[in-house]
Amino acid sequence: MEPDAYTPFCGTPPLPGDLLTRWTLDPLLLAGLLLFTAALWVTAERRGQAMSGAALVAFLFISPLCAASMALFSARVGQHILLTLVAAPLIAAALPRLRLPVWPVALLFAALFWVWHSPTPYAATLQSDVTYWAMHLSLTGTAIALFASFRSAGAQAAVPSVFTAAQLTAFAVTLTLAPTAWHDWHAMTALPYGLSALADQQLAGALMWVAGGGLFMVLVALQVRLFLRQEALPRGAA
Amino acid sequence: MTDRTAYVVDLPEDQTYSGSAKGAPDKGFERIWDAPPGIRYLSSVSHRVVGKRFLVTGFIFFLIAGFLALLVRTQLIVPDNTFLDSETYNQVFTMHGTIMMFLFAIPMLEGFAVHLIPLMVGARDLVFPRLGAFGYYCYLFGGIIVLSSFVFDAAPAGGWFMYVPLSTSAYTQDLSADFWLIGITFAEIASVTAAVEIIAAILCTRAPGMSLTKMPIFMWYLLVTAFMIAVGFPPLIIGSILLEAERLLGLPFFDIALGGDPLLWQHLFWLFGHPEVYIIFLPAAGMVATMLPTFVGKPLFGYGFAVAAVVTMGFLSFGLWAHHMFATGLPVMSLTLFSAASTMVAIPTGVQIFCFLATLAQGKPRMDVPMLFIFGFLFIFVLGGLTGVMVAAVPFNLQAHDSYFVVAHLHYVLIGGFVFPMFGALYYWMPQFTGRMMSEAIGRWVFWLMFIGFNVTFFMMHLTGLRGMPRRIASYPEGLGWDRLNMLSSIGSYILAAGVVLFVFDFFWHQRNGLRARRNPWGAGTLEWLYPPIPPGFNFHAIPEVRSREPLWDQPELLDRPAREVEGALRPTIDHRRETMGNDPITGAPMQIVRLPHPTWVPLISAFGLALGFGATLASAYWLVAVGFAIALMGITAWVWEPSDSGVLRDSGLRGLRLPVNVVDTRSHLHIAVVGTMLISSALFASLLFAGLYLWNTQPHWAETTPPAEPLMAGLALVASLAVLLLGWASKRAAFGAKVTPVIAVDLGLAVSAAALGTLLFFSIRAVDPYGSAYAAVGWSLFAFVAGYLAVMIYWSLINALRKAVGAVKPGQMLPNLLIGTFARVVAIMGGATAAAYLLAGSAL
Repeated sequence: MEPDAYTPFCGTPPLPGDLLTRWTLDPLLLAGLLLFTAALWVTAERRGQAMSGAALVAFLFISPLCAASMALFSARVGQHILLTLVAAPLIAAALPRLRLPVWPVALLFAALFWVWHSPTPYAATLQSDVTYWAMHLSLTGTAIALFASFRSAGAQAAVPSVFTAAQLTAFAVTLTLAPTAWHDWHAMTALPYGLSALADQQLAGALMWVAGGGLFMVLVALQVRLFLRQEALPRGAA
Repeated sequence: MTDRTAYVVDLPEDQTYSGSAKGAPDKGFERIWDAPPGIRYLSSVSHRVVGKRFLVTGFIFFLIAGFLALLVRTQLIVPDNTFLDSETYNQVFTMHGTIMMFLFAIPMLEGFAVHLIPLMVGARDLVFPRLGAFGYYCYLFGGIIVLSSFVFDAAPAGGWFMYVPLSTSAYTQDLSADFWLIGITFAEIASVTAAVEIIAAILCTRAPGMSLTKMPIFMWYLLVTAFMIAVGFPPLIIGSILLEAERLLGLPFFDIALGGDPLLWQHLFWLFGHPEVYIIFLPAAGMVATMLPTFVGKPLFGYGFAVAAVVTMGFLSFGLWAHHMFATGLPVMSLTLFSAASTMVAIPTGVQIFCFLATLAQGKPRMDVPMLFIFGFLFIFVLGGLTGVMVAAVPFNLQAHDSYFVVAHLHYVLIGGFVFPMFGALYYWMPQFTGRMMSEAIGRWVFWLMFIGFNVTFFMMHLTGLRGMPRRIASYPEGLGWDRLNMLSSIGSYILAAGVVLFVFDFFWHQRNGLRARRNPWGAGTLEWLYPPIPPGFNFHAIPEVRSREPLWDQPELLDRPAREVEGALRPTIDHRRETMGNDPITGAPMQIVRLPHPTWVPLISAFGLALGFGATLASAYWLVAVGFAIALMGITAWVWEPSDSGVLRDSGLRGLRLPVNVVDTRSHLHIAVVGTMLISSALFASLLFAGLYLWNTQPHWAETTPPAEPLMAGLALVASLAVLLLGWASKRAAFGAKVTPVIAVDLGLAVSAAALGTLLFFSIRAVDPYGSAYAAVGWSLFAFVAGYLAVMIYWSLINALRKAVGAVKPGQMLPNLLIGTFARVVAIMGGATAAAYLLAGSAL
């Protein structure tokens, strides 16, 4: 790589050997995470859940996973799955009840999810910090909004969550079955890990399909339990 | 959103609002609900009649398909047998699978649902009786079309999943595949109408006080199943229509030479096929969860866990279809993960099984015949689940693929998971149908014959499969180590059949000689046993308030007096109409009085018209197709034209509570039904979009070389779809108001904007040749699909305008505007998505 070329936020793609040494300790990042955690501490109703969500977010950006996501598309997808399907619902459950319209948020989340993982916008996130953070903030933000809206909608979240599961699966299927690799960036970076770019992408798609689907399933089960508990309370107490 | 109050009129009880003609002032409660005598019985729409029709017809198909299975086993009893030639053999096993899956299992569960839902939730009839009757006739006629293929010597022979290219016109030149595609698609109308009906009935017509958490567990199972049918059947319906269009019109959807992909069929088929297994299993498990507490004498353990597990299974089942396609060359990277996903199903299934076991552990179960079948279910289904974990492992799967091991596995799952619980359920609920108990003594023989016969037949098949015998072969040579196992399997199948024959005998025998059932014969806790099971035509003189999940156990006021004297809502029949209570879907609080239809011929006429249309398509008699669909359209128009008394307040008989009749509200049963219908429609549309996306993804060359749609026209279509969206919203707003005549402008606006949207979409794609590539053909299918919905919308909004113009609509009766408002908004999104897809496909993506 040329010396004056832009270095992505998480650094240059690491080789497998030095991956575990690649912690991202950028002061701005640390300050931002601290601010985010503090804001959650102040606003959250359930601090335990809020802090575990914040801890996961911090881990996803500080740990070597950040660097790994520069080399492997599948690592990036893993990071996004944990952000949107674990950290986001934890934070949404910790915040005070937000009355958000379910359908617009679900549609926005779908649009952002599809756009940010398609070739041109994806490449753009590796060209500037602003785009990189625009992606992560918009994806995580809408994911939190999505789960907050599901929470307040109760049983009316059923059809929008079917839609969300369906669109996530459709994207995963497309990615898994694509005959060529989408992201030129990973053409060379995945090879040291013993994966062709296409295999890396297939792994990414299958992760989204299966791990994402599995996590979504857990969330559905929790939401149903929560709903039944609230319903079982005497009228007016809920 | 739902807080808006609708316009209602409060009139004295002796006045009707717009004079609904169907009241019967000379009749008392029981006469109002009597089934019509003689030939007019066919016009009955009561859930008791329709449910029985489904069950009897489904069971007859079970006997037919079982007979076909015996033919298969007889052919395979010895090596090199010549009992059936290979072509006939292919027809026999194809029809066996097809009938069992589509014409027996699904209709049977619909029969139980149709019959039991109103009785268990405290309604006087299913919420859309005409729709139920219509669905039944579609199923009956569709089934007859499929069966009639034997008469024309054109029975389908391509296996129950009809894989392409074998089923395309190049390799199946006769009509056999058409019989399958047209007949099954027609019969599936019954499934999707049942889905809408089950959703609306469970959500909207429960007894006062029955909140979602107080529903019998079976209702949860059925609710989830109905949602799964609504989302799961559309991929197959779309797949069948595409394949039929390829066979009939030559459109190249699956033709590899023109950018089609045979694997697209497998994706669409298994996107349906995997959830289908759960659609069959879940209601059966729900029946087990209902019967088990009765025989143990304790409530179901872990109600909340079971509900969460069932909902989770509903979601999970849609992500797993790829594991039916391990052998099709899926990316190696993904196979391990699919394996993991497949074993994940064991978690929610396991939760349910443990709930059942924990219930059993709470007491000593009474070993009556239904309980025996429940034990049979537990034993066989768990074994099927274990082999399921085995075939989920990719290396083992590739080894066992297409062998008799898979045949054994799927029969353990389906017979264990559906047939055994269903026989238990037939024994359990039979008093509801005949008023008599089936024989305990004969029942034990039935169970043991079936249980032993089943295990002898299918356990051997595991071994036959491991010894390498492929499925679907008409004969095999001697000496490969398969001879004795096959002989045993065949003998076992005769034992199994003997059990079924004995059941049929008992069915006829007990109607004369069985003990008369007393009130609540099994000591159950659920509401369907409130009345003595001497089958009457009606359900509840008064609809009782419910305060418990097991009302008959916990509410002594229900059983300490004759059932007809139990207190509750709607005892007086002020308007001499069939009616029941409507509730808030979540809380169960009374919200409205739902008017129900009296016997009518329109369902039969409409279904007959459709049958004529589908049948004539097979015979290529296109003028007759037009006649058939015209008859159906007339029938459906007559259906919707009925005058009503909606918008008026009436006494509910519940502590002076006055409730509106058929209220204009987004929580009303009709609006819930429209939402359900649009869910199905969206799933159909999404299946088409998926087909386009799949071809774009896997055949990029063809996506690039197919000429693009006209961008200007597509852009204008996007604008038109916005207009439809806004008018749909306006129509919804108007529905709540008191003004009638000005709304005609909104109706006409909807018709005009829909016509404009359709026209613009047509001009967007006009220059693209649908025969040029599969990709282009999908583009045209999107247009045709949306155009169909737009046509419905135009027709419907013109009817709405006309009804207002002739004064048939009074203030407070504008529910149709609310309904078409929702309909129009979803159609606008589908039209807009089509236009956007045209723009995207044309751009340089």
